[in-house]
Amino acid sequence: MPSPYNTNTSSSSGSGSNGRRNVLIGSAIAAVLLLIVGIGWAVQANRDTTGDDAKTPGDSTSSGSTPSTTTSPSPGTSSTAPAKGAPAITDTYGLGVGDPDAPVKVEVFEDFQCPFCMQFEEASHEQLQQAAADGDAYLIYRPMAFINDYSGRALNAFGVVLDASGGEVALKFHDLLFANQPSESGPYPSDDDLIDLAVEAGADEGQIRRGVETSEFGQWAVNASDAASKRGVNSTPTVFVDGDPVTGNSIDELLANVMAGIDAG
Amino acid sequence: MLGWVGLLARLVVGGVWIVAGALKLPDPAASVRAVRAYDLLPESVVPTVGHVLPLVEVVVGVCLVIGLLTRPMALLSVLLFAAFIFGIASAWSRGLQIECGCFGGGGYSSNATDDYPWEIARDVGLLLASALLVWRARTRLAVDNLLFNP
Repeated sequence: MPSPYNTNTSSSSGSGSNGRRNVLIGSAIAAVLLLIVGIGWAVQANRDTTGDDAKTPGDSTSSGSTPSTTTSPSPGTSSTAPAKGAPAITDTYGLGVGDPDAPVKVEVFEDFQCPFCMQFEEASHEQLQQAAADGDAYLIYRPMAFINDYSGRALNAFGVVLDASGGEVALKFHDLLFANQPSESGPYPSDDDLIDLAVEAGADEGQIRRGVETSEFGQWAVNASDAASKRGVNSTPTVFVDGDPVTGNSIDELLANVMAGIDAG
Repeated sequence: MLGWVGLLARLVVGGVWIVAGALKLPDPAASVRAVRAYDLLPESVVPTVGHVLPLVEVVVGVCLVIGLLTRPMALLSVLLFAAFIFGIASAWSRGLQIECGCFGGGGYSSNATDDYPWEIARDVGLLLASALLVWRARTRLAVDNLLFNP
């Protein structure tokens, strides 16, 4: 078997042994490279914690006295279920506002670091809250974290507040996070800044400090982003009305189409 | 002469692979999401591709730059570029607005449609350079020259 590089046919016996030698060396190198890729694969798969078990907000009850369990409770079955219509966690990763039985379901996917989400919040907040309050729509905020490190820290803090202080305070914290959004190039709020905002929203500092500092819901935040990705959300803000994405070439157009969807429902 | 052209092709193509792979390595979850955004592969293989692809890119890149197993690596490079060109063209034709995720990132981009032609042109160029190396794998200053007898 001549080697692939062999252009010299004058010594056929020599080329035969060279060919065997070349194949041997080539195979050995290929095996080493495969091994490197295999080890790297294991490392990368291990570093990607997506889908690992996560503590979900609401696992600890709002009293904070019950130790958390590792199983996630089904939404709505919690013994401390808030009054109907009050903001509460739903489907593990969402903050539902309004009547879950409202004729239209509006899901807002957003990243706390995303400037267009902030614009959408400013433009939509009043109208969407009103639609939820009137029972026209069940509004679900689905925060995710895919832009930068701050995205994840903010979403973890949101989870901590949702867990410790409930949906009402979490919704206020959500609004404050957007109102105080840092520039994408920093400087980013410190943990203390996040805690101050949470306290301003009505959280108890003693109940949330540890969770914010230790990234108690960091894994939940990772899983939330993955769940959104699996629903085809590649950008924020993305709004689903009754499960279908709503489009718009501008924030105003997006909001107008969402409101039209609610009115049609 | 062709040996020196081959060296240049190795350095350019290999360099691009190294940068493309290395930028994706720090965030495997983002790499998985970028693969998923193309909506081409079944969900069961999406995480594996997202984890392995950047590694393969770096390995192919390093091997090309140092000239190790030039022909098989160039062949792999051709196949990868062909797959990427197909992926981008497919996203374009389906009206998806996604970043190619070629150098990390990925997901939605509002000016994606403007970028697709340039991304495809770039990948076609790199594919041709890789094909040259499959055709003439013997190049200057390659580790292959030390390891393998002609």
